[in-house]
Amino acid sequence: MPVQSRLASDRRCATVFAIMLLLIGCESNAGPATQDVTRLSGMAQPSRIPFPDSTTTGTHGALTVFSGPPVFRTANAVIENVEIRASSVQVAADNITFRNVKFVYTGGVDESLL
Amino acid sequence: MIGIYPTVRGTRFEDCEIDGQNQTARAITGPSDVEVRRCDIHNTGNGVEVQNSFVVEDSYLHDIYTPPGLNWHADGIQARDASVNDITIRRNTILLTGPETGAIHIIGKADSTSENIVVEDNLLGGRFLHCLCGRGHGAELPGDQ
Repeated sequence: MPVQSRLASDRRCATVFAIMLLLIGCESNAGPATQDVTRLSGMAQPSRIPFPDSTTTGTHGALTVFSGPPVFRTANAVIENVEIRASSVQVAADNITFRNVKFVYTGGVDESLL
Repeated sequence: MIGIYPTVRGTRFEDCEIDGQNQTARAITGPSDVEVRRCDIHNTGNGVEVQNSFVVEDSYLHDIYTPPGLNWHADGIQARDASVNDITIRRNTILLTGPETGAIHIIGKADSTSENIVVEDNLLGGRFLHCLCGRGHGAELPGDQ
């Protein structure tokens, strides 16, 4: 086959291949934002779960307004089921757990670290 | 907003919401050994800013924000230390609002070593994943969209 013809043929093949790749890419990006968990769990059948959103994260149930100073100095404490409205919350002891807590910032523009 | 003292270890956030009201540059900031799970963190500068050794899983970080005229370089999750190690960021949704720096920003010194950094199965929207970790091994970035 002449060089010119071979080049044209190669170009056609490359174009077809690129289009196939595009189509495969479009297919894999279709549908809602989900993740394939088969790789995580080793399940045989594909199973897709949604990525986290406001329905799967954050607080749930009734919360009590936290009234003390938002400085936590007791090691191993668990603070739970409260709403803390503050301009600064300080964690000053080891192994503190905040569980089902809503924090709402109440100050002005703040760039400080603590 | 939530500051963890430099010597403190073992802080956990589970099923929490943090609303920065578009006013605070950092929702959670601390030194190391921090875990964040199933949390909704929004309308803040950096969502989670920890120097080293932390886990963020199954969380929703969105509306990462910088007020007009300020230069916060806000990120969804930021790790920044001389040497960044032992970081797991898995199964999160991280959405920026526009001009912020990155959904995930991990940076160490070029001449440092970094180990055990796993970033996988996250949905990142807005801008980029930056991982500038110097020398090292054990970094994995599979499954992110």
